[in-house]
Amino acid sequence: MKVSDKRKLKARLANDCAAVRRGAAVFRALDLPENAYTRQPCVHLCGDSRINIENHIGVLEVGETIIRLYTELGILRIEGMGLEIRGADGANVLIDGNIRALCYETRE
Amino acid sequence: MFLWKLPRGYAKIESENVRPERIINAALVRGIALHNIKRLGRTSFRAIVLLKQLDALMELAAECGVQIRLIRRGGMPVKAAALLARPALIASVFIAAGALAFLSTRVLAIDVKGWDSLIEAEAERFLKQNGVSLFMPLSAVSKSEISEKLSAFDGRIGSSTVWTDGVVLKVELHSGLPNAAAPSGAPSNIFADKDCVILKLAALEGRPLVKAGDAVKKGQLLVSGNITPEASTETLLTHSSAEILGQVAYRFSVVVDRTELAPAKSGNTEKAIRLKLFSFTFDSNSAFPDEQRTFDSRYALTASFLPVFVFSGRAEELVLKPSQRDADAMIAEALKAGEMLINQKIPDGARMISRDTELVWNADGSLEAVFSIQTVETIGYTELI
Repeated sequence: MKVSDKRKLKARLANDCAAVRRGAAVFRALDLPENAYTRQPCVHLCGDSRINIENHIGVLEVGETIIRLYTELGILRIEGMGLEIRGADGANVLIDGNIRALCYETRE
Repeated sequence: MFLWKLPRGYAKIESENVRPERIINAALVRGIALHNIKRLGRTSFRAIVLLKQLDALMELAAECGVQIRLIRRGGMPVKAAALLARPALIASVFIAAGALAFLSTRVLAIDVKGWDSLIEAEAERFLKQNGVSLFMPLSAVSKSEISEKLSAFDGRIGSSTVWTDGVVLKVELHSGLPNAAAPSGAPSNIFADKDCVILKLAALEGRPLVKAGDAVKKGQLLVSGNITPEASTETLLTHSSAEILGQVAYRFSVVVDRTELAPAKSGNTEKAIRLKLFSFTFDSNSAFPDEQRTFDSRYALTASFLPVFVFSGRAEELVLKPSQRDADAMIAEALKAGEMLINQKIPDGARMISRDTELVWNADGSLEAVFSIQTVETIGYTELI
C-alpha cells in the first residue's frame, strides 16, 4: 500500500471516531440504532446462499470453503462450500455460496 | 450482476501474488470495486472489475509489485468501439435502414382474389396495363378508381374491394353474374338465356309455356307471369319462379400456327453483374431490351457483416425469330388454349355430360382443335313485366 493511502486510511478512521463521538449523543437521544453512528458490522443473511456484510474493514482470507473479514468487533469467519465474493467495495462485501457457519473468531 | 456489467463494460483479471488478499484490500481502499472474486490456488485469484477502473487497478498492482493479467474485456463499450472501427458495417446498416424505410412506402406485392384463376389473371393483367405495378408509391394508389375501372373492365365482375395491407395491395373480386331470381312478389317472366333442350321444368309460380324435351332458342319466353284464371276473363300479372334444367351444346375452336416467334440468341453479349442481399437482387443495366443472363462466378463482400454476394457473368441478347414448332408442341398448346376457353365460357354450376375433341391439320400447316361439349345447367333469366 502506498504511504499516501495509509495516511488517508488513518485520517478516515480518526475522522470517523470523532464523528462518532459527536453524533453519539444526538443519535442516542433520537433512539436511532447503534450501527447508524458506529462502524459495527451489519450482517444480512438470505437463506443459506447469500450474505451481505456492511462496515467491514478488510479481507483477511478468501477461499472456496472459508472467507474471513476484519471488522470492528473482530474477525468474522464465514464457512461453507463454493464460496465466492460476488462484489466488494470499501465498506460492503456480498458473498454467494453454500453457507454453513458464521462466527466471530475473537472479540476485542 | 451480468446486466449492469454489460452496459458499463467490464474486464476479467487474474492476479498472482503471495497473499492475494493484499491486493484485494488495497483495491478496496482505493475505491476500486471488485466482483466475482474466486480463489484459483494458493497464490492466485480471478475477479471482474469495471472497465473504467481497470487502469487504476493496473497502476495499483504495479505499485504493490503484484502481477495482474488481463484475460478479457467485454460489455457494450468494447463492442461499440469494435463496431466503430468498421465503417463499412455501419454504412451498410444505415443503407439497409434507408432502403427499408424507402421500400415501406411502396407496393411490394399485389394480391388479387376472385372466384376463379382466369378472372384473377385477367384482372392482374388489366391492373398492370393501367399503371398499377410493383414498387409504385402507396400514396399513388387510388382505391376507388381501381375498383371502378375493374367493374367497368369485365361484365363478370359485379364489384371489387381494393385495400392496402402494409405493403401489399389486395384486390377482391365479386361476381356480378345475373341469376334467375327476381325480387319476390314483382310480376315477371322467365326467358331462356341460351339455346338448349329443356330437360326439366318445374314451375313454382307463373304459367309454363314449354315442357321437358322442347328445344328453345335464346330469348324465348319459358314461364309467363301473365295468367288468366279459369272461368274469368281478367288477366292477372304474377311473379314467375321455376326450376329449369336444360342441355346446352357448346362448340369452341382454337387455331395454332406452325411458325411462332420465339426468343433466340442473337450472338451479342456483354458483361453482367448482380448483387444479392437476402432475397433482394440488383442487376447491372444492360443495353439489350431482352436478354438471358448466366453467372459463372460468385464471391461474398466480407467487408460488411451483411450477406452481400456478387455474381459475375455474361448477358446474351435475345431477339424474336420465327421458328417451326413440332406437332406435339402444337397439340399441347391447342389443348391448353381449349381448356382455358372451356373454363372461361362454361358456367361454374354446369355439369359436363360429354366432351369431344377433334384435331384438324390445315393445308398451311396450322392445327385447328375443335371442342364439342354438352352440359346440363340451370336455364333462364327473369325480367319484370
